[in-house]
Amino acid sequence: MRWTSICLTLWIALAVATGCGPDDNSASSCLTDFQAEPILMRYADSIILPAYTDLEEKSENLVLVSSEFNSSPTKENLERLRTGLNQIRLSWQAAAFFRFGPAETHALEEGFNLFPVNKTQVRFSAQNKRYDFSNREAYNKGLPAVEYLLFGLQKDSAALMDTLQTNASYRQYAVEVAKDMKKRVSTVLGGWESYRAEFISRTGTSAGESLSLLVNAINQQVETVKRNKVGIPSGILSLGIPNPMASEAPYSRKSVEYLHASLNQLERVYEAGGKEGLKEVIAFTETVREGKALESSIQDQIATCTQLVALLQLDMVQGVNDEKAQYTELFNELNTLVVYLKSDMPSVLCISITYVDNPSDSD
Amino acid sequence: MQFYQHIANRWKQLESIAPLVTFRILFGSLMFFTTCRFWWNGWIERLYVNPEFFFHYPGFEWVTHPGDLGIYALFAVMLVSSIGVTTGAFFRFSAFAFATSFAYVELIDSTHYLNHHYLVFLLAILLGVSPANRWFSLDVKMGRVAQQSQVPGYFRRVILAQLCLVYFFAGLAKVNPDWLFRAMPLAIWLPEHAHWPIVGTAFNWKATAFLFSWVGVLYDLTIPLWLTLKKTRPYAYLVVIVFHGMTGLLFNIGIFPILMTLSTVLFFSPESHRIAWNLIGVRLAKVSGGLGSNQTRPHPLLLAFLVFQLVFPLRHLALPGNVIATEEGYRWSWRVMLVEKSGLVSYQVKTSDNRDFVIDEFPELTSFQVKQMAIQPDMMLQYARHLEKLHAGNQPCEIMARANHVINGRTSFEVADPSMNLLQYKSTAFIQPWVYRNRLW
Repeated sequence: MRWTSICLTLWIALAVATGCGPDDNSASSCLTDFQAEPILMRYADSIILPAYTDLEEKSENLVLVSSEFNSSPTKENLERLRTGLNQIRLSWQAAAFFRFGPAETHALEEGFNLFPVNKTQVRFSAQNKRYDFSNREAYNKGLPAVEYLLFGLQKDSAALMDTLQTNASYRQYAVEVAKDMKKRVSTVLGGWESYRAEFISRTGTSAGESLSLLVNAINQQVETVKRNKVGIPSGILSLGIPNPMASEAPYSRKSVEYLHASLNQLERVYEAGGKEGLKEVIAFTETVREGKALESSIQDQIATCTQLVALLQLDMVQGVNDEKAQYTELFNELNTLVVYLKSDMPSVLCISITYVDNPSDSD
Repeated sequence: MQFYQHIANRWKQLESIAPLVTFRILFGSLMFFTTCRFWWNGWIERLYVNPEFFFHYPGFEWVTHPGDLGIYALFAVMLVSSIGVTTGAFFRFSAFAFATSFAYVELIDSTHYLNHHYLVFLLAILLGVSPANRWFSLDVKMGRVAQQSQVPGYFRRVILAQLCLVYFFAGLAKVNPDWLFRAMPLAIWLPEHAHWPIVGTAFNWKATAFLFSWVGVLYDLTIPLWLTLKKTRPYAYLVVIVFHGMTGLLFNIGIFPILMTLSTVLFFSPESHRIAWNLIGVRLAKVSGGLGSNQTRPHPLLLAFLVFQLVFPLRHLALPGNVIATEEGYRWSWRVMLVEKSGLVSYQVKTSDNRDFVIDEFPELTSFQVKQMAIQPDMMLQYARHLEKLHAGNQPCEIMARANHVINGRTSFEVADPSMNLLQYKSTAFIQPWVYRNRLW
């Protein structure tokens, strides 16, 4: 009995001695009492579904204008088609943030925006009238394929017009790709009709729950921005060798514009119009990072990146050679943003994002 | 001095060999089972055949991958030797063959460090030096050793001491503000089981996380005591079963719960083991004997082992910074299920031909290796050296790491200065001089 009391006293003393540290608010307390349902509802109804609806509209339009150009390949119709393409690409920047649920099942990302496009494969498929877009990993479809047909078949614009006018197969291919995208986004929207209820009801924080899916998907897109839209074209992630033709829209010279749109959309997704956005949820945890509220740090970091993109020259193909330092700075700031979004945000929200499972046991 | 004499005398006292035999059979069978399980699950292939790159433990760089056939051979040795241990055939040789092959496999890739695998190794050694084959064994049957019913008590007690140290240090590590006053990391881990029938909802409550945290630390720190005291022992063992059963259900910790539940059987008195054997019909013959009088004193190495095990897990106290943040002194110290930690790492490479680029994808690593590397500085440094080999081409080159960690629901912190060339540093077993000395709390 004597031993017992000695042990217990010693134990309590140890606990008190090591435990009485100063209060620190770099740590959240994993609030379990915050209501996830209104947040999820907000994202579903005000952010995700409107993004898909807009994307569906724009893809319907793309089918229409590409068909018109197909039947009457005039200069005016080409311009209308190019405008339609630009509109849907801007719309895509919003929809790209939600790769889960139906979007994942129906490979929306792969159907819309795998780049760089495989030119040879597009030309080959077009000429041989092969319209099979079922292979997730084939770079012969989506927005980059249409861009290549409308901007990249020839260097000179007169020659391009000529090629498009004489080759109905290219025009037809653009129509088929547009139809494929339209079909995908409609299927995804249809899928959300039933998925919405599931999305809103899965209010937990563990892997596979809606909040975790959402945060994970946002992170995937931010990684895509960092890696595919900046890192690889600039050469920073490709052994220092610039690769501008691997950027998002090299033929239409709109890579910088879409990069800018991506970051604007990220800000929108992060705030979600105020009260029920991720930003407010983080604010709810009252977490401070290096003397500054975490939710503001994240917002400011998005703004920093956006401003840096705004300073880039519009043509990335030229820019990656002229503005090396600016691209490096942008890449570093994006990297910091990734740390905030991928490490800090899930950590203080206590969301498990199981990127990786232990292949055997833990201890 | 008197106290020491008292302990020494108790440790030398002869006692029934029965508990050692029980332990030999339970441990050997479990090792056979775990080896089969590892093989059956395809983990040999996944962990030791498929990967193209392996991380060394600092100080064990000489342990190289023995080739795919070699790996299977090592596991075959484990299988056969675990049978040898269980049946007591060529017992000492079997035990050491098992310990060696097991340790070799563990040392191939530090990615897969597990405290309970380290414990398995130690127990195999401690069992191997004991005379656990002197009764009810093939060695006795074959006449390789003389049957013996009594052995000095220290063989059993040193294993008990090791088990006590495991519990104690596991508990001590949990005496920290995050564990006690933020219920971390259980507040993150438990809600993952919220889908359990009936009790599931309770895993979402903060109170449950606190309850589990405090019960856990109380259990680890005091269970050796309750198992030692005769009066509380049976209840304590019941608690052992419930506690380890529970953790086994909640967490992906493999054989650890079974290992501890079986090993703690040793806390029961030698006499009760003897009676238990008799009850199942294996009569323990009353053969007189024991080791020769000059051998009844524990070998000094055995004592040195215990001193080492007492001091080594505390080495982090001599190293600046929080061990959970720096990972220095983290391994081999019974920090089990202690922290929720993740990290992000990328490397900046500056080559002599003026190229300056970033590597943030690691195609030659498995995703689990990437995850582990991202939280362990010594692995980061090893990978930096690997990148040097890939990209420097015998020319001078600089490699910087940009790494961030998050721990227990906190905000992230930088692991090291991202402008520092890692290649100027050597990896040492104890300290990574390039890592920030983060105190965490």
